[in-house]
Amino acid sequence: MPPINSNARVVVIGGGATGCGVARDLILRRFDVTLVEFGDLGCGTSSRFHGMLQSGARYAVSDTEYAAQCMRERLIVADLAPEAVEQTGGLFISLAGDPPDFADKFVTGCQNAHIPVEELDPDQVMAEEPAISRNVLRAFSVPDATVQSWRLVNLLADDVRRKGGTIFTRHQVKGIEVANGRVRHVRVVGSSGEQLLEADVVINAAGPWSARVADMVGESVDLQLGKGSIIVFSHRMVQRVINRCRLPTNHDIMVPTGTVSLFGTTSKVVDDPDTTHVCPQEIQELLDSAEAIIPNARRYRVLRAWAGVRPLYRPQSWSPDTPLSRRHTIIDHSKNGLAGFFTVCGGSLTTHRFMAEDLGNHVCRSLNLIAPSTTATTPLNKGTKNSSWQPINNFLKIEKERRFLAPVCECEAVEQSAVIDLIENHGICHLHDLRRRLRIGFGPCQGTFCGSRVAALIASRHPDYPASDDLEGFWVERLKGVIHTAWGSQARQALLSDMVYRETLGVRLNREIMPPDDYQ
Amino acid sequence: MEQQVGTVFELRETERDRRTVLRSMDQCTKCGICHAHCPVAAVTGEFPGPMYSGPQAQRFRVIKSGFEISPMLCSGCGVCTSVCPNNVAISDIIALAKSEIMEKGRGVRLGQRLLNRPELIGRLCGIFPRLTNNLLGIPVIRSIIEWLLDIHREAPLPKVHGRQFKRWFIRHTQPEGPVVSYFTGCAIDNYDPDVGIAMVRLLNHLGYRVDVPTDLCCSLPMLSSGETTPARARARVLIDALHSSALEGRKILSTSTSCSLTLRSKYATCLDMTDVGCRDVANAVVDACEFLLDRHVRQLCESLKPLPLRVLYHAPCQLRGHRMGTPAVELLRLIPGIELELSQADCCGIGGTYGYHKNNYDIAMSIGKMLVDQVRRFKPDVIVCDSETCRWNIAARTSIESIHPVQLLMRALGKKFD
Repeated sequence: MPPINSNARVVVIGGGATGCGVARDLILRRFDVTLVEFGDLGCGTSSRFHGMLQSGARYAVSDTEYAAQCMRERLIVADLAPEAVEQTGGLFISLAGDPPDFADKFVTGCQNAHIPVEELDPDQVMAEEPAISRNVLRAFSVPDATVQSWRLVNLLADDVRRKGGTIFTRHQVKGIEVANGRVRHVRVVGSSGEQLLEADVVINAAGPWSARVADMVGESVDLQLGKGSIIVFSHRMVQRVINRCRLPTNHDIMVPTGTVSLFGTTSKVVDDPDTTHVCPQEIQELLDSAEAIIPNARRYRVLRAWAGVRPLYRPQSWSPDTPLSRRHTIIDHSKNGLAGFFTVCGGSLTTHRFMAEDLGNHVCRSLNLIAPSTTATTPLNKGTKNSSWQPINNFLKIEKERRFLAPVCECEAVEQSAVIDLIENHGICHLHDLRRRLRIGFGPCQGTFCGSRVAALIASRHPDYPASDDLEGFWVERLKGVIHTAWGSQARQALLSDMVYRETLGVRLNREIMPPDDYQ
Repeated sequence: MEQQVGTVFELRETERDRRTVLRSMDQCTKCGICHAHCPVAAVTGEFPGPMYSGPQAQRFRVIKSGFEISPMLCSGCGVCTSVCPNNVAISDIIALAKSEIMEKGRGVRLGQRLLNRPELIGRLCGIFPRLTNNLLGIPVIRSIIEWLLDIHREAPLPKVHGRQFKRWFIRHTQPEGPVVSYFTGCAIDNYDPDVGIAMVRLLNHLGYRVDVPTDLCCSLPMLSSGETTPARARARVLIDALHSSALEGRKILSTSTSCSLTLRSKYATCLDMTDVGCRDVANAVVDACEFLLDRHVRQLCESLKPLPLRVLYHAPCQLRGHRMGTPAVELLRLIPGIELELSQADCCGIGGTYGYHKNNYDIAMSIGKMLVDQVRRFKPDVIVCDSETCRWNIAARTSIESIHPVQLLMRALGKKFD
């Protein structure tokens, strides 16, 4: 049966991977979709994680069904958006001291979840990955990958726009109006003032903020917010994602992404979804655990640390000891008497498409429509098949064309032309927004030299661009991450960088960098 | 097993190895000081500069290496490493990148292979030295060589002397006294016998008996153009030949700053040779001027006679890598009556065998322009420089006699050559 043109108006709140995925799913089912994001696309939890596209092997023993789901979705995402995915491959290593019987359970779990797993010779693995511990007893390769979350989110959003959807970024939801037990309007405020968006259906995909959104209509969403902190090492110490061969716990993954390596993640229950400060003891915990995988990890340069907040579903009726699932949950609030309001929470970026499909099915069911999801089979990028993303593509291009004066960012080999394209053809004129799309300022100097170059490019095209403000915001945000890891050469870098911003560029820092004293 | 890590800053030159060199990329703060000092980046846009080509590009090379060409334009002068405030082994990082490019990429061209074996050229050409020198003076022959072997037609080839030093040394009678070893390298033996003779005579004058354990090449030309495997084999033979001198506690003197730097640190950094033999030899090697300045200043002061000459001293780029200052300048200042000016140029451009290649010749000439201009202004009677290829280059470009510091010392001692 062909999809039915329902004309139902849907407002999706939240522009992360989930929100954009939901918007795309619903627009492919011929809904009239508007997405509202309070910051830039993917600037919350979607980007504040380790950047792994899970094969599911991590959950092969603890939750085989979820692992199988990850594996399925991982293949679909890599197929839909190859330009956002790097097929790094992943390793599970058993180190001396890890539970000896786990490895066999792991292999069985992977097989049950249909995850291709292969045992490797530990000596060969240690030769191929010279930075890792010499105590590898067993090693397994799995098809883990890494994902450039901003690129993925923007690909989804671009597709939504192409198909007639509307996306409001930097718009805040101020209220959701309800009449006769149905949602009617969503009131949003943005740079152009207040707007009233008509809505037959409202999707709450605001991640850790979804409890706040639900609160606007007097509903509650029981979330457990888990803050996860990650540290970034200055180069790729490993070429594959490294996992420990044991039940997944905190801080045991090393992920090579772009030109850097991430190590994470801590876990700490917090109340405030805006909590993104990293505590000193978290850094020490991360370094301690990193040393098990990378001996002398402390002697490597750590660029920065950051934290994101995981929204895990935990109904208040559950006892505190119930283990929390990584799977997603969809709440249809019509059972509480509010029709047309849905919340989606939990899940992961890897499974965002499946979450969207599941949610779309719920929406269709509630409206008595038959419209199957086509997200898995509809190409994401205008039908053109792009080659997969490699972090050295830009570098090799500059080398090939001998355009050594062109990069605005040497750390990530970002060319001027790429920046100009986004400014002129996509109307993107904030340093942060350009940073997320191009990885500007992600390298060792953390935006010391590229910030002013990019600001100059914006200013030359937008005469009223507030360069000083934007540079201040950019540097404060960089410094917030750098300040936690400013020892050794990164301290030297931070001093040089701060000097460049304050003395050479005359930027005055008026914003708070350090967490409050009583911060836990 | 604990892995040996640490910043280069914490390690002595001889304790650097390939791993610490590559790890030093993490120390880069992108201050750009090396770029501002790079003689090559100053004259060509084809070379992205040491900061980019060294620590920055290395972050990409750990993902995938051997796919560039631009590092080949680095002359290996080492100015970048010497000016780096964060002790990044920039030029060694680039040297390692070059060898990866050679291994994975297009390979070493025949001409470069030949240039990389200066002692072989010396031996072959030394069979009929006069004929060879005459032939190499004919422009048509040089054009053919350029076409066949990529050696630029105007590159300053040295005169071949046909093992003149060795013949002299065998017949030379020496005083009894403490023994020092003298590592001649390939240049003294084949192209520059006068320096070797001056060195032996000066050491004899100071009461030493000189032992010349070997005339092998240090393999730097191979090493700096990426022929790592034969370089390692050659280095091993050389280390074996020199090890007994080191074990007997003798100093191993060298009149070539580039050969001595190779023995002192490049075997460890670029060839990853860090065994006991290499370390012993590395610690025994000492630059001739450093040795003289360290032990014989008073003796020299007493016997040096006034020499009213205008002298321009050019410190070769490899001298920086030793991190020992400029001992030759201190020695020259002991000579009464000389008018000494120091070269303002960081590099004469030739960079060992770098400037000989037809692709690099123009860059080398542009780099050397600063030195040539200074020579024109100062009009020295003689130019003094510690490194042989620099001397040949400077002499060819300025037509002014270019000699090693020990040769000038010998003149100030009033000694005559054979």
